[in-house]
Amino acid sequence: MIKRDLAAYAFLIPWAVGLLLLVVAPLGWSLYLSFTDYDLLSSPQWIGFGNYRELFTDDDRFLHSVLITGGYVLVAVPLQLGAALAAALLLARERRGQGVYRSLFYLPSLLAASVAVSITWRAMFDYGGPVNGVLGWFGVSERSWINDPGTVIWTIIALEIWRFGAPMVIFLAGLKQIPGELYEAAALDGAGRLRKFVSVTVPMLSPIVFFNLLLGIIGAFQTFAPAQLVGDGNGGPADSTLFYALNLYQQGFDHQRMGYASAMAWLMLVALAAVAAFLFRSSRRWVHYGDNT
Amino acid sequence: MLRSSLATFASMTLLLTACSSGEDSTAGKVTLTVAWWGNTARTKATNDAIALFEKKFPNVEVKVRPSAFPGYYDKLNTEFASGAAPDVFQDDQVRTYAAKGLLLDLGAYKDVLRTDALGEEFLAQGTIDGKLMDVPAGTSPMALVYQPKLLESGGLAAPSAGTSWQDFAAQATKLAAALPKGTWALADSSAQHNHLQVFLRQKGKDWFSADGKALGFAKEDLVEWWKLWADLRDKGVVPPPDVTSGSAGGDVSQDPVAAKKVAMSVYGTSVSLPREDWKYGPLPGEEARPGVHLMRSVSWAVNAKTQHPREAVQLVDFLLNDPEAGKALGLSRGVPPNSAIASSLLPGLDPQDKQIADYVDYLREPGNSGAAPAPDPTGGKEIRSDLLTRHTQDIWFGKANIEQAADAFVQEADKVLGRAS
Repeated sequence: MIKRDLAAYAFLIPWAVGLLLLVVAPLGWSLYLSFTDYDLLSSPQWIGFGNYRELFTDDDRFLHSVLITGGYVLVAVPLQLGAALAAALLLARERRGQGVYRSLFYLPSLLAASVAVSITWRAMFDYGGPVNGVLGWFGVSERSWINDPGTVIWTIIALEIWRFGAPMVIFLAGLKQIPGELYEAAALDGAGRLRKFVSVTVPMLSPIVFFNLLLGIIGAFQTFAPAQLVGDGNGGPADSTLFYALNLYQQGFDHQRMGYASAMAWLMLVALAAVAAFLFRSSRRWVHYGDNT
Repeated sequence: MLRSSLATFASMTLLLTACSSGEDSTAGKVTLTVAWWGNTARTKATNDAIALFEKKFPNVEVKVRPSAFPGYYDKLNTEFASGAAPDVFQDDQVRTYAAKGLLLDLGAYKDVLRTDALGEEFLAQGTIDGKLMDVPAGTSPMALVYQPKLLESGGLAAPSAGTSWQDFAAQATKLAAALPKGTWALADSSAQHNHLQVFLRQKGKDWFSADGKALGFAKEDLVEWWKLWADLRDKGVVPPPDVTSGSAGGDVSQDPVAAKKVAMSVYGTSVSLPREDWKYGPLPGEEARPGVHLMRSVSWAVNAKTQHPREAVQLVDFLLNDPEAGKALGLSRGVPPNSAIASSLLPGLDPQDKQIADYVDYLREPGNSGAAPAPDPTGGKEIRSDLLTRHTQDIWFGKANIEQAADAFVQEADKVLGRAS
C-alpha cells in the first residue's frame, strides 16, 4: 500500500517541483517584494505597508487605472459574450458549409492575442487607415481614432469583441448539449421562438454563460497587450489607455519600482478573488444545472 | 546497475569539465557582451566596428546584442538584477547606474582608455563626483530643421540665432497661411523635453538644479513654454494633437519631420536624420545666451562586475578612438566626440551628413553653444519623458488647463526626485 503511494508521489515530483519553483516561490517572493522598496538594481528595503499606503492615499493614476480597467470590463465583457452567443446561435443550426463558417468566425480569436493584430489594429484606425476610408464614404471627416483619448478605448473594446471565437465555441458546444425534446415539449405547449429561447435555451445555457463570464472577466482585468500596442505604449494619449496591468508594468520596469508593482499585483489578485467569489455566490440564484439538485 | 550508471555519469562530467577547461587554458579567449539600441543602420555600423576590434584583438570574442529602444532598459535592469548584464552597454542615464555602483570607473583605466582626444565638454557629461562613469559615443545637439522650398513659398527667410521666439512664432504664423492643407508651419515641441531644455537654458535655467535634488526651473517657466505652443496650436500653425501624438509611442516614422508634415521643427540631429529637402540651422533665441549644448546622443558604459574590465575598456577605447572604427561607425551615434576622427570623416560625408557636421562645428565656435549640464539625477528620465509627455497631453486633449497641468507636473516631479534621494 505504502509502496504504491510512493510510486504515485514519485510520478508527481516533476509537477510538484515545477509548481514550487515556478509558481509558489515567485508568488511568495512577490508578496515579500510588495512590502519592500526594490529598484532591481540594489537589494530590496523593507518598508512595511508603505507601498499599499501610497497606492491608496497618494497615487491618482492608480485610481485612474482601476476605473479605466473596471469600466472596460463592464463594457467589453458583456458585448463580447453577446456577440459570441449571437454567432453561436446562428452557427448552431445544421446547414451546408456550417463547418467553414464556424472556422471563419473562430479564426480571429486565434490571431487577436498576437502582437501583429494589435499593430494592424492601430494602423486601421489611424490617419489613412481603412476605417477612415470607409467612414469617408459616408461623409465622416478623417480623424485618428487611436491618438484621441476619447476614442482609443473604443478601438480596444472593438478588438476585444472581435475575438469572440473562444467563448463562441464554448457556447456552441453548450447549445448542442441542450436536449431536443425540451424544445419539442415547449413547441407542444405552444411556445414560439422567443419563448423557447427565454425559457429553454437561456436556463439550459446558464452554466456555460457563467463559465464564459468568469473567464472573460478575469481575462479582461488583465488586459495588457492591446493596451500597450494599440495605445501609445505608455498609457497615453493623456492616460486614456492606462489599464491596470500596463500601469503595473510601467511602475515595475519603466520606473523601476518592483516593490510597488508587486503590491499592485497582489491587490489585483485579491480583487479578482473577490469578484470570482461574488460571481460564484450570485450563481446560485441564476445558474441552472438542469439536474434539479 | 545504479553504481555503474553513477560511475558513467561521473566520468562524463569529468570529461566535460576537462574539455571546457582545456579550451580556456589553450586559447585564453575572452568573451565580452555588448548591448545597444538603435536603428538597423546603427546596428550595421556597430557590427562592422566590432568586427575590426576582433581582428585587432584576436583573443577577444565579442557577442553583440542590438535591439530597438522600447524595452531596452527593461531588459538591462532585469539583467542587472539577475547578475547577467552585458559587459559593455549603451546608456543615456549615467547617474541612475553610477549611483547604484553598477558602472566601472573608467578613469581608473587611463592607460587603456585614451581621453585626451575627447573634448572636456563630452567627458563632463559622463563624470559623476569627479569619476568618469561613461563616455559619450557621439553628439546630437538640438537644431532647427526646415524645408527651404516651403519657406520660400511663404516668402520667409530661415530664422537665425538672433530671432526671438516671439518673432519666430510670428513668422511661422505667417508661413502657415501659405502652406497647403495637411502641412503645418512648425512641429509641436510642447512635449519634447530636449526642446524645453534649450528654452530653459536660454533663460539661464535647466531641467534640474546643479545638485540634482530639485527641478532647475519654476512652474512659471513651464507655463510660458506651454502657452507659446498652445497659442500656435490654436492658430493652426502646429499640427493638432492627434497628429503630433502619433509619434509619442516612439514610432519615428510617425514623426512630423520624418513624415514631412511640417515646414520647420526643433530637432535632435542624430536621431533618424531627415534626408533630402531639409536644412539645419541654429534655433531662435540663441544669440544672447545659447541654450543648445553638444548633448551626447548616447554613451558607452562598462559593467562594474565584468569579468574582463581591461578588455571591456579596450573595446570602448577602440570604438571611440580607433580611426578605422570611427570610419565604420560614421555618424551612427551623431558626430563622434574624438575631434580628429570627426574631422577625418568630413571628406567622405554625403551632403546631408555634412550639414550636421558643419552645424556641430558651428556650435563649437565660442559663444555658439552653452556648457553641458551635470548628468541628470536618478529619475530624470521618468520626469523628462513620462511626466512631460503625460501632462502636455492632458493640455492637448483638454483634460487640464495649463496652470493645473504645470502644478501637477511640478508636484509629481518633486515626488520622483524625493524618492530618488
